[in-house]
Amino acid sequence: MIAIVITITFLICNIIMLISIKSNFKLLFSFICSLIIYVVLNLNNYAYSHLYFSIVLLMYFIILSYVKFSQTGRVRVLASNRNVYSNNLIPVVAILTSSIFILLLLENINDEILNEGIDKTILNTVDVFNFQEIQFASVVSILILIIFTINRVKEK
Amino acid sequence: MTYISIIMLIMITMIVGIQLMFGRQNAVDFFLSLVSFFSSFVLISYLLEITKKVDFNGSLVIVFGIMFLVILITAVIVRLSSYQARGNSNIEG
Repeated sequence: MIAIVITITFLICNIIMLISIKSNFKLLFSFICSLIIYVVLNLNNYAYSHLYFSIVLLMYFIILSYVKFSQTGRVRVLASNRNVYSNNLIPVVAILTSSIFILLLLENINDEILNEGIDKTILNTVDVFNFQEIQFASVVSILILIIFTINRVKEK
Repeated sequence: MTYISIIMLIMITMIVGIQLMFGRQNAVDFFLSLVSFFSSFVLISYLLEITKKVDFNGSLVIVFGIMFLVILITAVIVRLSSYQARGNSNIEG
């Protein structure tokens, strides 16, 4: 019952986010969607849900600062005529049809978590940070970002 | 909580992210699509942890988080500079 309520509220919030024209409302409703995902992970006792939530909060802070800066008038903003009909109708129809198909496909499958609860036994641990390639890639990407921002600031 | 609800959340976030990233030219939509892709990747890693009985120690969340944060910051800088040069954007309200 709780799962159905959560998925339905998630669907409604996503549809409202896709339909809304103001960027502030888009931000708000997508924030509600990520809050719902955080609640789902927290209810399942996922140990790193706070990490997900902090990263998402940082991303929303950057997006909100961009929106507010673009509304100050330092960047010229011109009105644009969007194709409202096809832009807003297609995702709604796609989400509804895909959810109906998934519900039909998963109708008679035995749901393990619902019957017994999650089995917490862990067979093997994979810590991605031990791979040298990923360490190298993360360090190089952060370095490129720093150099990029320094160049952009120098140009102004 | 069920597998079905997690799979539903993954599908919905992926569809919304794809639509926001490729279906529209708006700046805010592109940034929100990055957030939805990140949340879908986190959900997929959680589903893998449940089904395959593997523990990632939260490292995949950090890796994907750093990746999408770098993409977001570079996209913000590029968009702002291009709009300052050309003075044309699709931001509304």
